[in-house]
Amino acid sequence: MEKLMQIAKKNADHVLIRNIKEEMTNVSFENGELKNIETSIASNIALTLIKDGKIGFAYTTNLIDREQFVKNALTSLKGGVDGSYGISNSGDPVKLNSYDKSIENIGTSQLVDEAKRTIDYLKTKTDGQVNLEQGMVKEEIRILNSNGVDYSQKNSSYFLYPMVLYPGSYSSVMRAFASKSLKNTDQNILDLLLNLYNSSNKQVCPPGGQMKVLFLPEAFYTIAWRMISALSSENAYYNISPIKDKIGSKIFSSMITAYDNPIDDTMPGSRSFDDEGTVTSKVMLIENGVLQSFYFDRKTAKKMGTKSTGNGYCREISRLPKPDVRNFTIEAGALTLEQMIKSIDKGVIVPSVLGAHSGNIPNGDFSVGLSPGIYVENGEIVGHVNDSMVAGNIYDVLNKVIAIENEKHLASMGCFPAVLFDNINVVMK
Amino acid sequence: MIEKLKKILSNVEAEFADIRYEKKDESTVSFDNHDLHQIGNNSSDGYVIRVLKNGGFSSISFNSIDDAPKAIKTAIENATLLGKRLKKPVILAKSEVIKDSYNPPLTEDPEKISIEEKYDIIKRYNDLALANPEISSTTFHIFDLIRNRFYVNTEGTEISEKLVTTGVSGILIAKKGNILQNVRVSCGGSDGFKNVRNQEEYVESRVKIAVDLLNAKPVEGGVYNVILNQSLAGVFTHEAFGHFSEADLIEDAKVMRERMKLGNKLGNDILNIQDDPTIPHQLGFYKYDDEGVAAAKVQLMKNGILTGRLHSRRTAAEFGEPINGHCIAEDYRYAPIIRMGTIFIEPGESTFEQLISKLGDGLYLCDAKGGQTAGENFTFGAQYGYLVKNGKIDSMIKDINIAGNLYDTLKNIVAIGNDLELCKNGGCGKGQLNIRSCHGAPHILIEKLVVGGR
Repeated sequence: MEKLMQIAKKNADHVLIRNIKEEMTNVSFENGELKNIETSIASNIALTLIKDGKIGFAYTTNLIDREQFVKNALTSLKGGVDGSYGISNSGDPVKLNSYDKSIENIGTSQLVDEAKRTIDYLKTKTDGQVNLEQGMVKEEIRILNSNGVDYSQKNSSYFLYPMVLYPGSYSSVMRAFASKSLKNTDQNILDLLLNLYNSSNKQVCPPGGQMKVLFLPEAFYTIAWRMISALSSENAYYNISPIKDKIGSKIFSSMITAYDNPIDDTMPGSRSFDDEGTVTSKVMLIENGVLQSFYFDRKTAKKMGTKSTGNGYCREISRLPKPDVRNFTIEAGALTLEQMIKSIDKGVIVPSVLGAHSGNIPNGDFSVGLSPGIYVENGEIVGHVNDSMVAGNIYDVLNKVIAIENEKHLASMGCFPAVLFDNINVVMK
Repeated sequence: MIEKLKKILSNVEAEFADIRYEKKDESTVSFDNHDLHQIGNNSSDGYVIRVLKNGGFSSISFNSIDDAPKAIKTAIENATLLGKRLKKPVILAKSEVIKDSYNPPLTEDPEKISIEEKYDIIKRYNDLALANPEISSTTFHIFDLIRNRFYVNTEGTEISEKLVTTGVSGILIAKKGNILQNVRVSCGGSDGFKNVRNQEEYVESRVKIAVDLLNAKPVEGGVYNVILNQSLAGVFTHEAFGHFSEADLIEDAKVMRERMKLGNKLGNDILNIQDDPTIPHQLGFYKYDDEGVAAAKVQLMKNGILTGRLHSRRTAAEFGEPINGHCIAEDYRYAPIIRMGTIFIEPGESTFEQLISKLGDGLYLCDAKGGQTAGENFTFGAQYGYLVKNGKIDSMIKDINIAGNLYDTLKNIVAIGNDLELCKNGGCGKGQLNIRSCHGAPHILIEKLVVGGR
């Protein structure tokens, strides 16, 4: 990397190099049986050159010819992409405990053994079909720039997702268990899944209408996705965010507090610097329903006359950074999940959804199939519903929050508690 | 390269092994509104090795040739472990030994077009859209992506194939007060750069839809009789049927597998569906899949009866059904999985006018906006639509999402148009992205569709 930096520096005012190495093993079980083991060993390099306020970019997997790689970036420079926002100065990233060395001694057979143990436990207590995804990742990220930034971080993560599937479909209850190295699956997670599944085993066909809806963390990304879109400084800048002018205003229920927390190293995946080499920190976005801030990368920060919040990330090695969250979190509330369910006179629990990616995301609209819907009457789960849909808009729905779980859980798109909403329209066939 | 791959494979001690090397060349220009966001040509590469040993089948992907010995060792260990623990040993269906090299015929090779010219084209489309005062924001992206793929296996198959995909994709956001509407723009193909030229009229038509949507009413949720246009019916086919035809998705789901037994009647008599990646000049075209098997047409459904399924060598053996070359990977990062190639509902007899007249009262829904399948259930979104009253197209509606069920929905297709169209730009995410996933259909009339709304 140092040689690459030297060559690049001769040709530009500023240089940034991003090098990511990753080793991953994935194990999958279907219908209670071992199905597949896949591994990947990947290495990627990206080079950014800034010259006369313009940016050039190149990426590759194998750095065979440094001069040619720099030439690719210089050719890209001719395009005239604005790079006036420059590169970060050297700073002081938090020292994170993000790598558990014991992961180096974990063999695939140990993973398979733990997965089997988890499945066996579930199978003794339910008739439902059990699938499971499990994985282990070792990652090394290094960012260096011509301002003296040279940060590197090693991350280790282990995850296991058990799923109990309803008959004849892929509707399921599931929950992620994650840690920095192989650990026994948390029993509480398994017992929760068993309880939810076994008590909703019967298929029911209640009438639709306005009712309470309890989004479990695994389905909450339906809403979080639209929050993340609205909180992006880029969307604010381009007038796509509905809350662009609402800093300081109350936009949601006072029960909603949301922040990005990349430096929380109790969970795997923490980052002390972003993909632009900016030091990261906890970024408060919504506090008690009041909008505090958008999240910024360097480019959007410059356009809006402010500083990067350390939220410049590249979705893929082939892309330039954009504002993105790393550990989007909704703060936990006051009630246990049991208490929340008991409080439902008539409503559905949503453990999983279909179609959260379609719909008018910028506007906050959502319309999702429930996969399944777990129907509750007078505080008791009575069965599950197929063929039902929930639709709404987050600016309406997030003002109808009546309870939030007292625990957060790692799930798709962030870390969320269960959230109970009142008076939402559910269509049942 | 083929010789180099054969040498690497010679170090693998197993019943079967294959290796795939790909060099991916990407050219991209992207705009966020008037701001050029990214421009450049880049190359990346990598290998995927798969090993069958003692009944276990495992894969490994890696970038650097120096990692090959470590990768082989890991793949063999994992395959051996699987072999010990799998309920049933993996068998691969027999496949012809093929030695071939294939380059697709192209009308304009995108590699010969300068990036400046690509920049000019996408800028023109972008400026066209932004010229409309009600379009508040755009993202526009022109790309060509070339997979130079080399495949060798221990049975003696040696194939090289080039897959060239060109495309323009974008999102237009129209704004009026607090109302935001977005519409997708997409075009492209597998047979050359010409597919992204001269799309001004198409871009204008998308702008018009985005702007009209500002004044459209959200659809009222409920159950309706519906006509889907070709684009939407194509996505419907993909989500409502295509995924269930992928053997790997139903393989371990006992109930699904029973319901998808060949010979079962799942659809109306008039419904015929096929997947044919051999149709030239379509987005979904390829000659050989990523396991070295020749692509083949599969008659998935005939007169409503299930007659075929999409397979890899492994699932073909498992199901006892013929192989048909439908095992594809996105690129060098992934082992291949079962994918649709070019899936479509075959055209029927009715004209569009006949369909609308037959519909009477209902909805006319247009253009795909994403979809998802889980088990027997699926959802998909429509970009826009119209109320239909008394056989006449009425006001525009929006915010349309549809939910359905494999068993009911296909039986409720009551009439099929004669106007088949295949999509120009694709995207199917199934763990990895298949940008050449092509789908299509004629206009179709479906009864009793669940439509989500407020």
